[in-house]
Amino acid sequence: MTDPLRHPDLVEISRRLRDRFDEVLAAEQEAAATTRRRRLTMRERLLDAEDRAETVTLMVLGGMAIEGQLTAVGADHLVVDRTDRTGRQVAVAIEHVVAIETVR
Amino acid sequence: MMRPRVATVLSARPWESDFVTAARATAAVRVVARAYEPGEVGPDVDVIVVGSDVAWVTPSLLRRWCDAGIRVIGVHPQGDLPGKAILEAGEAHEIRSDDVSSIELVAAARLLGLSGGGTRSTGRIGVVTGPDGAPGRTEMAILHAFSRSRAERTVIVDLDRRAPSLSLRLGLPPRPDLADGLDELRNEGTITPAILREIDGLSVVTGTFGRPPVDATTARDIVWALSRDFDRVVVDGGPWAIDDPLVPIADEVILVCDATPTGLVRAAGVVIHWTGAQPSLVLNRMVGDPQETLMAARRATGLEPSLQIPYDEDIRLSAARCQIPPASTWRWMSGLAA
Repeated sequence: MTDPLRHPDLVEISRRLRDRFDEVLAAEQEAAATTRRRRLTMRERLLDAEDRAETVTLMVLGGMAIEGQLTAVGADHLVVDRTDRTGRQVAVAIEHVVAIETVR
Repeated sequence: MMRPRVATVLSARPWESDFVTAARATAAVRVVARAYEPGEVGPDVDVIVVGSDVAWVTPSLLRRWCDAGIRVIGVHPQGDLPGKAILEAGEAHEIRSDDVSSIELVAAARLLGLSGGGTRSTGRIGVVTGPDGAPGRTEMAILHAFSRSRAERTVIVDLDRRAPSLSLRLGLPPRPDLADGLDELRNEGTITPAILREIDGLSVVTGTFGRPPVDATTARDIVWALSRDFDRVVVDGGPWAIDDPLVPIADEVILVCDATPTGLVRAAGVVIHWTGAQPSLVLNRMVGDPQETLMAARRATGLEPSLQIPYDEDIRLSAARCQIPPASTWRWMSGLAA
């Protein structure tokens, strides 16, 4: 079926309608992004970092910094392959993480 | 890792967040991005799950992803035929309506991700830009395009938002211009041959007069669509702006600078805010001692000029007469790496 809005007399109005529709869609997406940020939990942030294979610096209770690649996020802890010279694997209780910084 | 890397395009529709929740719960795929803007989708993604209900999702963008070897799953609202048509025109590998279950969508993403995607070669994109003050951006774009057109299928497109002068400069009638091809671009993701004009072996798409300039999404779509049909796309990008949409997608950026103290200071003002790949600095209209100008350019911009183009009366005359620059002047731009 031919789109009636392609008729030459209606082209201009169809463009305007489309532009307005795009503005609505953009506003909806912006709202979705804001909602996502507001609902995001620390555990979800850690899952994101694991999926992206990011190297992170974790600040944990007591002030210690742990740098390494997040390799697993469990129900109550996470596992980091440290990138320092020890190269050790360390498990950290999620509730002890106070800050996460992405290194790369 | 065997788990495919999947990106979604952040959407207000529930299927997108349901998909991410299911992906995390099953760990069948890795969700590496929930993109709010096109630039957030990196080249290392295996699969993109995208809704047709996002303003910047266009057939050209979907094709660009497919060409890069990324598998695309498109999701459209149930019964939304125009939305489905966008996904079809964009050649999405799978198209589902949004009543699909999240588990089914995760399974589809996993399967597609493991199957791998072939790439399709596209033309190189070169953007010619520069500071304010008429340093000769359009002239350099024209010379560059003619210079390349002898070796490969080349198109020059005028995306100068402020002063699109290509049609006037080349002595072409103002219409048809790129605005006449926007509907087809939007609906089909292709450039209609009606807006392409041929001059001496070079294809030309002229900019639009008296109508609103194209937005960032459309500018990118035009360039991507042309890069499917041509080996080389030369963009007359107009004065550089910090939010320039074309510089980040370009394979090469040519920064044209007038070889005068004022021109160098203006170029330095651009370079200081520059992000992304290093541009090729072209010093235009050089007069006087070249060594002194070179040293001043290095000092002002921190860049090693790629080309130095002396003041050329033939270029000035051809511009004043709105004629094609003589072939003898094209050589000035042939020094740029192919």
